[in-house]
Amino acid sequence: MERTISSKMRRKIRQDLYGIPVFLILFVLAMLVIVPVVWMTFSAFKPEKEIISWPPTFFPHILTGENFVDVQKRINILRYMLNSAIYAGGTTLLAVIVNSMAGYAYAFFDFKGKSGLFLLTLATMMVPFQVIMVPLFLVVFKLGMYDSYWGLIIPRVVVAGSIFMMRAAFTGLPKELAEAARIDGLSEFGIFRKIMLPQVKPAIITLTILSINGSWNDLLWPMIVTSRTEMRTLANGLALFIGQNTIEYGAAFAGALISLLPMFLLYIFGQKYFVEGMASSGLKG
Amino acid sequence: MKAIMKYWNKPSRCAYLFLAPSVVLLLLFNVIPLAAAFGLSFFDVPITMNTARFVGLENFTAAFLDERFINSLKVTAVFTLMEVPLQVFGALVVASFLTKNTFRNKLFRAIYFLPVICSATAVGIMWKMILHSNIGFITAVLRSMGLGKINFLNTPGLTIFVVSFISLWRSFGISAIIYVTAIQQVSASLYEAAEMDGAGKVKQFFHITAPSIRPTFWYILMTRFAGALQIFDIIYITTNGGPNYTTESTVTYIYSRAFSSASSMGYASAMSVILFVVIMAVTVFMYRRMNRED
Amino acid sequence: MKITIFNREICVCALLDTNSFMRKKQRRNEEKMKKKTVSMLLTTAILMTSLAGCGGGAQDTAGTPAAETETAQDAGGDTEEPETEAAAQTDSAGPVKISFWNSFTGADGDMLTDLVNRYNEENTDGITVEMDISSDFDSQLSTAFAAGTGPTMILSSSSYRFTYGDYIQDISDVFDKTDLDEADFILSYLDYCSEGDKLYFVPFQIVGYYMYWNKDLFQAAGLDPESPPATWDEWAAYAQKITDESKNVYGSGISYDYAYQIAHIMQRFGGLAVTGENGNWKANFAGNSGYIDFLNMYREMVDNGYNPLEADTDSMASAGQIGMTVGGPWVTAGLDTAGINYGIGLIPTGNAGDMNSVEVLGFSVTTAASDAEKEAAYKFIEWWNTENAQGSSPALEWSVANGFPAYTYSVQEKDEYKASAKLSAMSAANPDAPTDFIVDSSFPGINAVIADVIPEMINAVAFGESSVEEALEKAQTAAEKITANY
Repeated sequence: MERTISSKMRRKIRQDLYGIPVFLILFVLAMLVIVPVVWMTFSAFKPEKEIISWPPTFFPHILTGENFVDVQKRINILRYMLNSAIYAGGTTLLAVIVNSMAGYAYAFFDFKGKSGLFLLTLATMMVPFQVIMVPLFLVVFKLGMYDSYWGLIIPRVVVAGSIFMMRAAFTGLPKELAEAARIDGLSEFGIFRKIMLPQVKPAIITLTILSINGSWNDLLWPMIVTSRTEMRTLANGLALFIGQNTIEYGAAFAGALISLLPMFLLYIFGQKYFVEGMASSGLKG
Repeated sequence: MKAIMKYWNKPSRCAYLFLAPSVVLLLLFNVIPLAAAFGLSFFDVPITMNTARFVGLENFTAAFLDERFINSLKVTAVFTLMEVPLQVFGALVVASFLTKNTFRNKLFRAIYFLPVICSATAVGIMWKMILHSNIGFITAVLRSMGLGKINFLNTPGLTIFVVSFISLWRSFGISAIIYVTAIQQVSASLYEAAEMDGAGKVKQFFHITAPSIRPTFWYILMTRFAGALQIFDIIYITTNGGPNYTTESTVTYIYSRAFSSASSMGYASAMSVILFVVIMAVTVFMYRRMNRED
Repeated sequence: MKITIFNREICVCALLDTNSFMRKKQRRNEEKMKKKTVSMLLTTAILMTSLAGCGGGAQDTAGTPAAETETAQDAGGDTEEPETEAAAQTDSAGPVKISFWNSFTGADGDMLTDLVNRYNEENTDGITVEMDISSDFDSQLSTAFAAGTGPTMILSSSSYRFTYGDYIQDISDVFDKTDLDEADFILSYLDYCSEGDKLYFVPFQIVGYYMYWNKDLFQAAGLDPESPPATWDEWAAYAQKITDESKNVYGSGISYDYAYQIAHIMQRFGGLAVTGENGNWKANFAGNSGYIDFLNMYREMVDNGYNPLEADTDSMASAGQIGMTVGGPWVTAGLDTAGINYGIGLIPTGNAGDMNSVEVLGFSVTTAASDAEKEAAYKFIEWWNTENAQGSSPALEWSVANGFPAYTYSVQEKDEYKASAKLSAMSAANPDAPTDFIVDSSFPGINAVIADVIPEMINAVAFGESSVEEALEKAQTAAEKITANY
């Protein structure tokens, strides 16, 4: 009894000693990240004149909301946000289902052509989007999906990286779980849906956030595949402040903040689920 | 009906059912365009693709004689060798400190995640302004600290490091978060057992954490690798390849060949094929190793 | 040998006659669509009239032209005939929607949106212009064209005809079909938009580059703030005087990463980089003494610290850290916002003599447009250049608000135009000076020269990679590769 306490204490002391340099590293990294972001946030509240000035300022000398008013006046934020939400939501919903099913298959089943198929999937990750863009557009056009939400969403559902990520998450799970369920008479889809999927909740949350974030900030695809202003997304709207020859920094930063906020809330919301994910994951005993 | 269900319920068969939706979408929206783009590399095609002249391997030979293309491959290699190891290992170390769901850790995670959710455009122009050689905030701070005038974005030899840093800054958080979720999935009982044996944190990390999250490690390594070799948006916005083409990555160059008004789609495709072969070779190599480990 | 890639139809038409084939197909689809819309409109109209019980109410509805409602009433139960009749009418006067793409992101795009909205409200021809501003114009345009679709009208540099020529219609008849007066348009700008007797663009905006100088910095350096440099020797001398290391101020602001700026200046020193005519183009880089002078001067200013080694000099000018710079009219927007006390003048002349180098932007109609849409586009272009009751026109408003010189004599004569200090400084150029920009205005390889040859040359010099002569030799080789194609 006495011995365990003392070894526990020793460990505690050792951990605290680790703790300080670790905290310092984390803190410095956090500063590196946050200083530029805070600079951008402050800049969104500065008049244009102060953003580009010598000597440069960090804290605004003059606080103003005019950049936000400008953004709100110039673009139809609500409409664009709705489009972004439809695009991101639709893509993500389908992406989570389709990609996790595929990832599960690669992690848990042995079948003919597995390696070939997986490598083919990976191969699609190796070509810059700009190169396949034109042929991809032609496919979408021929399928009659041009200028529609379907055309926006469907081609962006399957992402090789996401399949890969889900495969990695499922590979970590013990195969015995599935065997036990099979003996209990659960169908294969049932095993996936009821046993396996809940185990990788943190990965699903990550995939969801990544996918939403990716579509939310996607600039090129919505620009090409839609041709009407009513179909444009928020990212497209904000690109308008970056002119060919001039950049409206204040408005651009204000717009970036407006677009960042929902994603940040989503992340905070998602992080709550990491806790649950952890609590329910792992084989107990 | 039951018979059909039963037939498909065998693990080796139902795999195809699980894969069907993704494979169909993949074929339609990735593989077909990919094949088409590759086909283009044998033609002389203008931007509007209304005419095509078969030129055989001419685009490929031209690419290997093109100084800017060779230079772009070098730039891409340097960028990748700098960015990927830092990202893959650095994020892992940081993630291992952040696995517990304490308030402090959650706060750090949220901070690290901030750049991930910023749009590339915003990140680009922000850094461009902060590091501006004349009116940049950071430049001015360093100057007032007596560190001299550092021209971050216009110095050949230095700027590539700056660009790598910005890219790292932007995507570091997501790698860390993915590691965190993977570590969180590692069974707690393993750690409890190790603790019983008196293994310290470092030992636990190497003996339990590292082996358990191998699949995730491979995932991050391979995707970051493919991503770094295709680096585009950050460079396009911050330096657009300058100064003197020292940050012109292969995809930046491909893009300028494909979509500038002086474009040549066929040539751009040929360069993509070469890049593809390089990435694919490395990936297949890594994939083999990964499979052996699994 | 021309062969098919993805789209058999597109390629077959490339072999035969792109325009007529595509347009026919497009027309067929559109007519089908139109019939549908028209019959829907008719049904609604009939419903409305029968519900209201009298015709008067329905005729007030702004959207559907009264004529159609009447046809519907006359025809009564017979649905077949009025449909075709109405469809025929649509071609000439019915409601037409045209799509209009451009790349005017930024503040001027906002003004363009307002003006287009105004047109949509004002016009009585039932025309709706649906404008789409693209942040990636080339990608959007090329993918759309490749799929055989595309906008009715685009707004772009006249050099787009060299890239998208197959998809841009000849619009020489715009002066016959509208009230626009060809003689009112300044001829050299129209030349920019034409090839032989074919007109591809109606001018929209003349982009010239000018010199801007910071009067406060001139004063601080003991120079007369009202007399900017007239020659490049003066520029270099002033740059030295204005530069103040302790204040982080540079005298000269020439960016190594700004090919257009470099090209406008270069041209003052050594004339056009490509001259000649189709089939016989000549590149003039190697041994061009003017270009050698320019590059040497630039190199020297950079070495001495009078010119920053910086890609983004515009921001520095807005921050008041640059004494003199060269740029398009949009530079004034940044300077005005920042409250800089500055002057505008013509770029100093070099050995090559007077130059009025400009780029012309214009409206064009694409091959995706049906005849009805083309006509609607003409009406919009006509409106853009037509004075209203107050004697103002969108063209004049645009010119005055954004500081672009006029392309018609009538706008030049306007009081508002003359009253603008910016515009009068910009219009001070010798009217007989050549308007070509960096290469002969009919040289199709202009984009490659600006996108590749000039940047490679200036970078090599700026970063001391090669001597001025070597850089020009290399530029010559690169340019000759381009000239060999045309």
